[in-house]
Amino acid sequence: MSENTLAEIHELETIFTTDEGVVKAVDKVSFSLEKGRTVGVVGESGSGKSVTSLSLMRLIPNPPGRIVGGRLMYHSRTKGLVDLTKVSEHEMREFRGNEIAMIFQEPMTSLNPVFTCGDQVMEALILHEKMNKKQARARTLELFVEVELPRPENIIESYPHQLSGGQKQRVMIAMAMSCNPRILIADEPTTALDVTVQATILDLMRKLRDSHDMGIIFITHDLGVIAEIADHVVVMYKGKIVEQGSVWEIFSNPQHPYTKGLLACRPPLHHRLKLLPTISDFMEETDSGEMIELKKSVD
Amino acid sequence: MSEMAPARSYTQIVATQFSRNKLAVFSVHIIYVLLFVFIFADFLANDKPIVMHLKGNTYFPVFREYGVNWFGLNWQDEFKSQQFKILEDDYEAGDWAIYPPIPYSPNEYNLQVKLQPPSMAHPFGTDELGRDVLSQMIHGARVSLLVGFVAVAIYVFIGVILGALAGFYGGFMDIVIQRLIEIMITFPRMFLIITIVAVMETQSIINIMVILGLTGWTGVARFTRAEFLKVKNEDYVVAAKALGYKDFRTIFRHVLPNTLTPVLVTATFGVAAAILIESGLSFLGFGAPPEQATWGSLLSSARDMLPTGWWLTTFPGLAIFITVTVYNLVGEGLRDALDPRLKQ
Repeated sequence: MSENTLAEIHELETIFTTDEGVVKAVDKVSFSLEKGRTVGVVGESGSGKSVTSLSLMRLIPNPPGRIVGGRLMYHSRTKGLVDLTKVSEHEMREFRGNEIAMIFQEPMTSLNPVFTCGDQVMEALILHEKMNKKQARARTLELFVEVELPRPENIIESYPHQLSGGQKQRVMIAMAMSCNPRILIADEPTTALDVTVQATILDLMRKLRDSHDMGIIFITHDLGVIAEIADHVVVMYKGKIVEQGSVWEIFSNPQHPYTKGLLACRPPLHHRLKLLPTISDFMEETDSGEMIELKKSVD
Repeated sequence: MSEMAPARSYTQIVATQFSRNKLAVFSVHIIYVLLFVFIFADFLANDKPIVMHLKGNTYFPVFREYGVNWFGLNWQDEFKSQQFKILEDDYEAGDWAIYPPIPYSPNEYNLQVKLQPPSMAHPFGTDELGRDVLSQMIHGARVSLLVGFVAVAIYVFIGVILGALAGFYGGFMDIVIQRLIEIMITFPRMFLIITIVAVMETQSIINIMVILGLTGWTGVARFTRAEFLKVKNEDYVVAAKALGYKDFRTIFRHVLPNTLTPVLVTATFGVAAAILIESGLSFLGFGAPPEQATWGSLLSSARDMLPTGWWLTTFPGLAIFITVTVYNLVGEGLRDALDPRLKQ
């Protein structure tokens, strides 16, 4: 592991036991994350993107889920190099929030409706940073300024339902940033927002990443967003990584049929299609699980 | 968004919704009256004066009574083995006493006025021993309301904790708690209570409250469990876990406040049900000890007098009816106010 590596996911396997049998949600997934860099994880719904990130947080609901294999090597601030699959729940709790933080897809539901935004950010500060109420409030206002929220004194007293989606996501980011995490996991943070707000949130995340030297794991199914923010791209399909590489390689020279299909599915800007293509128009999966590229032009 | 509306919390929204239901608001006011009676019963119906001026000294016998009953004080020598009303006979010039509005104790009997129909002196009449019915009802209200509140408090406490654990952790814990709930439900509650009371050595109102509390938690536990199942996968709960909060904090600070509304409604209905059960038990003679007047025991002792003394059953019966009804109306009002679908 090099100096700058924050985390290395190695052959991670996570399964879910259901009534119909065992589902391998994450199957031998490996990638690494470096300081100040963003890894983008793309894939369709159910491809295992979120489960990968929840595994890293050890937040897989158990039962039915369980991490059964692989290593999650993490370079922690306090304890040096640890394997997150091996640490105790107590130690893991120390890492959560303090070192690895997370933001979610639905800003509408990721803030608790019964507390004010200020209370929720302050709670994290009081618990993790051992601040008193007054310090926490001052720090919360600073954080709100840092995430570019307008009128922080107002927002600190507001309930989540009084804010717009973009504002809520900023509060959420402030909450995640409150304890200076080294890794920020963003699970589709911009999916529920409209495009202009998306752009400003991405901009903010990039700024925070650079100023705090964090690593970001950015999960999305939006290739436009990936191109915008990621340095390294991991393409997942059915729990497996089908291809990974730098954002430049993936977009200019995709190797795997699935990646090619995914890229080809983007609707063209300059003419209208009668029917939007799907991945199955470009790729066929054989019974043995092998994927074959179909040559087809979109008209 | 240029101007931000003043922060309106969920509670305020619900309060506004609730205030639109006139019947429920009226019921809340009746509950205030009942609470007033509950707190100031000794000042409303008592055979001791509130203030008394006797031979140049001023006394506060009702307050002194609290001291005697609770803090081990003694009555002043002048009043020992004396009834206050007898003292009146040797009042001198300048002596006076202010009595409560109903100057009778619930257990003060006077055979000269037995079985009197309602009159100015006894607004709700007297029973076969000449005791004032209104005074008995005022003191009985204490027992009835106390039973309602304490029993519900006990079972909400048990039910919320068990329901929360079952819903939050699921798995084995859930199975054990659910089976426990089912076992509790299979017992007919009234018979279970009567059996336990019968086995108890002493009859006391505290026993009744505890038994009602220990047998009534199943509904609350099920509601809480169902709400936890719904809320525990919300993003903000995962977010709380992702911030490294302990389970205790996540359960009781982040999930619980979002699950309490149906519990609040059941609790309100529960108060009404507990009052009714206590009345039923007292009526059957299993409830409060005989010297303690409750609405149910008033009804019970009045049963034999039914042809002659209609006032003995009518007023306590009405009191039970009104109390149970207002609690149910408040519960209904709350349920409607908390229902997001009814929001305009």
